[in-house]
Order: sequence, then C-alpha cells, then structure tokens
Amino acid sequence: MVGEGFYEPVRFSGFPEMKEMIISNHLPATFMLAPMAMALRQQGLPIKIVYLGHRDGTAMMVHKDSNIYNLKDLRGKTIAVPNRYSNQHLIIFKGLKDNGLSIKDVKILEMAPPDMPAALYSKAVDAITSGEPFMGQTQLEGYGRVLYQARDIWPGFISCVLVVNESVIENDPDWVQKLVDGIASSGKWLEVGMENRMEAAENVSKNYYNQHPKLLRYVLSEPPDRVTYANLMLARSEFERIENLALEAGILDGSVAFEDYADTRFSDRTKGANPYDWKVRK
Amino acid sequence: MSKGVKIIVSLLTTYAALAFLHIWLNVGFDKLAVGGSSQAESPRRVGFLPVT
Repeated sequence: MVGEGFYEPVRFSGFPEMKEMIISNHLPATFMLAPMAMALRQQGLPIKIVYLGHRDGTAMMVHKDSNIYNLKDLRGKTIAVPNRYSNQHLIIFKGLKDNGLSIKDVKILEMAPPDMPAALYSKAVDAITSGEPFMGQTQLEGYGRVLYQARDIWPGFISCVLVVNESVIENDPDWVQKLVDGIASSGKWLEVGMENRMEAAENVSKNYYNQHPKLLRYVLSEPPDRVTYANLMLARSEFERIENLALEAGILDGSVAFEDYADTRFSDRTKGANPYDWKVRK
Repeated sequence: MSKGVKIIVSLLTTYAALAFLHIWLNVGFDKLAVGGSSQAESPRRVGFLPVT
C-alpha cells in the first residue's frame, strides 16, 4: 500500500504487531491506543503522542438474542477488548464501577478488532468493544445490538492517538507538522457535511481499509455523530483523566507525566485549521 | 608484472567495478526518481488499524 506524497500508510490487523514494529524502530509514526502509547513511553520507548485520530466511534455490542440489557447484566460475562492498554478496557472499568460492579466481575479477553464480529456471531464471547466499523458491522449483518456508545459514558471519548518517534520529531519537525495539519484539515473536511463523509467512505474503504463501502457509509452516518473528527487537539485534562483511570485500573503505575508522553507543539499549531477544499465528485 | 601483482590488480579492478555498480544502483536510481537529488526522500511509514 503506497500513499501519494510524503507518507506511506501501513495497515495492521492488531495492536501487538504494531507495538513490535514501534519497538524495533521500523515505524516512525502510527495511530495507536492512547493508554498503550502512554505505557510504551513509560517503558522507555522514544515516542510522543502528538495528535488524536478521532473521537467517539466506540461501542459495546452484545448478541441481539442475549439477555444483556445494561452494564449490571455483564456480571460473569466474557468481553473482548482490543488490548489491555485501551480506553475500551478503561471505559468498562469505569462503567462497571459506576454500576456497583468491579472489573473482576467480568472476564476480559484481548482480541484483534477485525476478529470481533465473528466472535460475537458465534457467541464465543458475550460482548465486544472496539473502534468502528467492526461494531457497526454486527448491526448491519443483523446479529449485534448496541449496549452502549462510548460517548454515553465518556463524552468526547478518545480511542486512537497519533504517535511519532522522537528522532523524527527532532530531525524533521516539518514532516510531523505536515502530517498533523493534514489530519486536522481532513477532520474539518469530514465535518463539513454528509456528502463529504460519504465520499470518504467510498475512498477509504477501497484504497485503505479493504472493507465494503456500505459498512463505512453506515458507521459514518448512523448516527452522524457516531464518530467525530472536529476537535482532535491534545488536551492535558483529557489525558489526565485517562491517566487516573489507568492508574486506578492498575494498567499504569504512578510514573507517567503528560509532558513526558505528549508533545503539544504540533497540535497547538492546528488551532483555527480550515477544512481541505476538496470537492466531492459528482 | 608478476602473477601475484596481476591477481591483485584484477581483484582491485573487480572491486572498483562492483563499487561503481553499487553506487550507481543506489544513487543513480534515486537521482532519476527524485529529479536530481542524490538523497531520495522515501515516504515515511504511518501505521494504522482499519478503524475509524
């Protein structure tokens, strides 16, 4: 897969493989789970979070025939998450706590997001949670039911962040800025209107995701705010919230600091970014 | 020239030819690719999972 221009998109199926590529210094930049990036930095990897990938766009799905109708019904159930170091894991931790339960009352299973729909269909697990479009896929195919949308529990939910190797930041900050500016303007363009979202669904499904355009059209429109891209700037308070939950859940220890794992310079410069002036093909 | 000197000259010539070929393959192609620059700038990889 080769992109036009200054970067080459590399698609992964799961986060463990991505993590290995980062560790072996073969991936200068990547979108990855926020707590995973924080944990890797804590372990000494020379990486920084520089921007967000999207907001919201995470749901928990149960089988339509299941007897799970609220979070309390999850007691004793098996839930698939993308990774232990994910906000999908932390939101379960928070949701259960808010309902008088503990994470120990459920069984958490790590699973690559593309494998989750089949696991729910076959009832190998009781619930799945990851970023779209895999949650929407279970609805579209008729066997999934939404237990919650992440934004219902955690408004402005953050899933993936853009992580860049420190050597690239140091040696070629212009490249990092160009990448961040591009994401900012693309996000603004997506929020201009539904016509743009549908165009993106067609393009991304064929050229990047290898998924059916109908699926991406669905998750980018049902409802329109299922995934949002308007504000992708880094905010300390939001990351401190993740830190606190991760510390409470025991997936990070006390040695994390926003200044250490985040570099806000590139994000700050996107303030007032304008949407790209791409026109939708008629 | 002694036989030993001939062998050394032959080896050096072969080495020089291979070195030239190596440089041409790595630099010459890059010049063609980027229109004159001796340092081709290949796009950096950016990883992603197919999630929105």
